[in-house]
Amino acid sequence: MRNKALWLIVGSLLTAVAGAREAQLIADLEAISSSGQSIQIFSQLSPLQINKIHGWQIVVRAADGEPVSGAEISVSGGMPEHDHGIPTQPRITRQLEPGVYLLKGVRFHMPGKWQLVVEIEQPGQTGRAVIEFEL
Amino acid sequence: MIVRALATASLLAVLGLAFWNFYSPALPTQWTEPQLRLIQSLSLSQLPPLPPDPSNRVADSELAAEFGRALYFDTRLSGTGTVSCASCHQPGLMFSDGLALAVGVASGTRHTPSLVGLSYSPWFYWDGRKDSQWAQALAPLESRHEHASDRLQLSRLIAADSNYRQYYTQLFGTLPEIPLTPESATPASTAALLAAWQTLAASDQVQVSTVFANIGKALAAYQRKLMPGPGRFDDYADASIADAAIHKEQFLSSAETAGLYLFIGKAQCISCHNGPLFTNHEFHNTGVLAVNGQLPAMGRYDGVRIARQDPFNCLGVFSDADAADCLELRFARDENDLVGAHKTPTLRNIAATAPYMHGGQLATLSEVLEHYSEAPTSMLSHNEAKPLGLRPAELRQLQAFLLSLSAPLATPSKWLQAPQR
Repeated sequence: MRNKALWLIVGSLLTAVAGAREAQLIADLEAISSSGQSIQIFSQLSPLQINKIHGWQIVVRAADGEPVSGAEISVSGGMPEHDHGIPTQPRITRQLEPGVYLLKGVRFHMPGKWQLVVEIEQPGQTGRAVIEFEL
Repeated sequence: MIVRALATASLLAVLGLAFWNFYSPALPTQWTEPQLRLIQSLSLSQLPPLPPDPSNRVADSELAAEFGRALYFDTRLSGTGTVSCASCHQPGLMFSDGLALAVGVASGTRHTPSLVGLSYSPWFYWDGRKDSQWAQALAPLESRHEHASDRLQLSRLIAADSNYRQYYTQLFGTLPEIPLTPESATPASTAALLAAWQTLAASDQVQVSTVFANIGKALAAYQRKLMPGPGRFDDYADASIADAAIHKEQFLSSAETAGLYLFIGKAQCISCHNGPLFTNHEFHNTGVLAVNGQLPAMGRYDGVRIARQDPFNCLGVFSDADAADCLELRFARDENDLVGAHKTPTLRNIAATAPYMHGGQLATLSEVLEHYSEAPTSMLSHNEAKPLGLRPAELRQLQAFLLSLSAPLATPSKWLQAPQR
């Protein structure tokens, strides 16, 4: 009886750990750029919400799955239905590991449809992706 | 024959007009899931705890709030001895003044905003020229039309009043020696006061500005106590978690409920007036006319540039924050679409804070609603709002809803009055 209870606890802990890892692996936003790179966005605030300044990790991989390192990445955009941009000017502050970039200063201020443009500049090529989402 | 045709046409016209004015389709009986989420997002029960202000280490000190309260109601904080913070931000009017343009020592150029719940905002002033509540509190003290005092005189007041001196020492440590001459001085006002300021030693300038900054920090600690209380709308929103029924007459009348339906839907008010404080604390150009006799204001476009230059900002020497804490200032946007953009005010207790807009340009709520329904072309840059074409009946319903957002403050009454001296 005691053993069974112990196993139940161990089992639920393992499930919780697996769940947490899985949660980390699911990106908040995803897109494929015009140059075929995959872009995954992991937000500090997940699910995304309005009126809180926060950061994102942006993971960029080339079409062959290799991390894209040392690229210049910019994020801009806004709400097309309201003719205005993002209320802040987010920018990449550093590369955390190969292909993983830290974007700081993200904040949204309205519920509704947002459209972001992610540009990835590397020597000789520029990838561009438009990401639309609803808040 | 002609008479009869005319009579029929007139009757139809009158009926049509009455229909346009008064008809209102019946609401559905249940909110949809997305509507419910929006309604609940507006409830005061969803208000998160007040975020810390790392730039002000006494922001959440009770002692600092007491010191701030005493300063807030003290007319000695003005050059004339007649104006206190409470002269314009009056507790009885939800910390506003009922005037189109503020009147301190002289007439000002902006409408006095309410202070209730303002501590949640990352930016202050209609154009966001200040990035903390303590830095905001400093500017009116030295402005010629508001308090018309200066940091040297104010520092001397703290030194001379034994009560203030005691508060100051407990909160900030030893009060420095305040120079006895000149009589008045500040780098942030007239040429004469600047010339006087330049006669002070650099070390004295830093010490006087530090005392001044600390006065602002105590005033901010006090203002962090000013919080809205829940009202009928909040009861309605909270009850709708259990039950998606639209009609709950015990909380909101049918006209108020119809107004809420428009507020989160067709009228799009919730785009900017979102969250439990009914504001996103952001800046928008909504085509409001310039204040009479003034050029159209540049709004946030100038405001963000002023904030970056402000010696009292989050990154400055008087701030208690690390640069890593100053995200809003470091990542503030400054593009052209901010020309003419002004801050979204809270709608809580909006009935008590007329007139409206950054220059008090619109006297009544019905004028405000007509303005948004029409969405006129902006004098500067572009109006973000689009025409809504609301019918008179709908405008009345929206107004009824807005008037339902009045409720007594959550702040204990001792904070709403001057301390006994």
